[in-house]
Amino acid sequence: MQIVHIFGSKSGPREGDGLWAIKYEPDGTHAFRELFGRLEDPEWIYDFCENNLTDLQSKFGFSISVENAAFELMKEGEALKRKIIMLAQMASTGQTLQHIFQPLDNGESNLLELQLSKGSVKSTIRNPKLRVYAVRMDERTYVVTGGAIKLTNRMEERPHTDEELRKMKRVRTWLKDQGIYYREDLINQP
Amino acid sequence: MTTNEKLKKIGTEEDSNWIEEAKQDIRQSRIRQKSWKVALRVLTLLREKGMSQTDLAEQMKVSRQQVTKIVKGKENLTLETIDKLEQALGETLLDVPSISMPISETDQAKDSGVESTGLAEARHTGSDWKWCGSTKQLNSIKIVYSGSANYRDYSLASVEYSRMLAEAIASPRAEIVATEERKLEESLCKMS
Repeated sequence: MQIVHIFGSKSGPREGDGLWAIKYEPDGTHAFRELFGRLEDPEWIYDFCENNLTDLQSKFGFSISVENAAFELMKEGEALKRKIIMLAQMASTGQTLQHIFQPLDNGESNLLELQLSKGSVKSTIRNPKLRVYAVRMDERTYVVTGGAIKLTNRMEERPHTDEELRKMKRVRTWLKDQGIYYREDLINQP
Repeated sequence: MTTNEKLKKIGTEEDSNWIEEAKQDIRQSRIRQKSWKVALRVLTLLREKGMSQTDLAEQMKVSRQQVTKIVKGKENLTLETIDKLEQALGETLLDVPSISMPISETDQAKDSGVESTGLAEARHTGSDWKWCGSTKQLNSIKIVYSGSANYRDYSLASVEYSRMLAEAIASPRAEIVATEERKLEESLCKMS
């Protein structure tokens, strides 16, 4: 497992903040690229919608076709991308990644280090279905572990979201094992 | 263990390209979304017709890799490729609206089999509808949305007359190039 800096401060007091992502395989791509790679692949999305049509129709609240559901999800992926670009650009003005991420557990109100977190475009889409999963280091620093199309209340209810939950826990344990608890521990000093 | 030692151990990297690539994607959003729509339509038609992507490639006389690019939304489609897709799938993927022009009397008469002798128009002036042009009976109706090339043609035989008029009246940019004057006037009065 490796860790990749996607954007954030390169120097100064906030050096190392921003968004990081886990690379699970040395020769593979990191979790953030992998997530958007899937969300922008019509064939992958189409297959997913075909295999999860009942969940999708329940989540959309009406009898949507595979084709239309796939297109809506792809547009949501793009909205998520826009939001992340905006946050990256506005980081210097005090916008934090907490505008997109919140604790994974809805009942949890405290923001803690190494907290399992979820991100979505809730502010622009009424009923978002996409999630970015991450481990929180501080308000401006998150480590992305993956993402999913979440259509059920609990992640354990479907194999693909259950897998994302297990990945998050595995990454948190790995970070602890590496002695990484705070943003400062991620900073790459020359 | 120092921070550097920790980092060396976990092997940090940087992907500074992601944001720039994402910005480029957003700049091309309209094109990307069109490619996605075509890809999803093709996938639906393949399912409906029980065809594989290899079958499609064979029918289009293109490589399997090109079909993969199309269904991945990665192909910048040319008109030639769209035409091949349409031929192979037996469906229209690209439909360009016709240029907005008054319907000729000859064409109308030919289409309907009913003799028509002129064109009536009702234009929306901002507050109400005003008649202009001929008042002779025609057999179809056309709503033109000014400022765009979009229009819809309706045949009186099939049109849901009231619904269509309500839709036109609701649009401040709409102009109706109409059909039978009396019938349209009555409908407009009922709506206003």
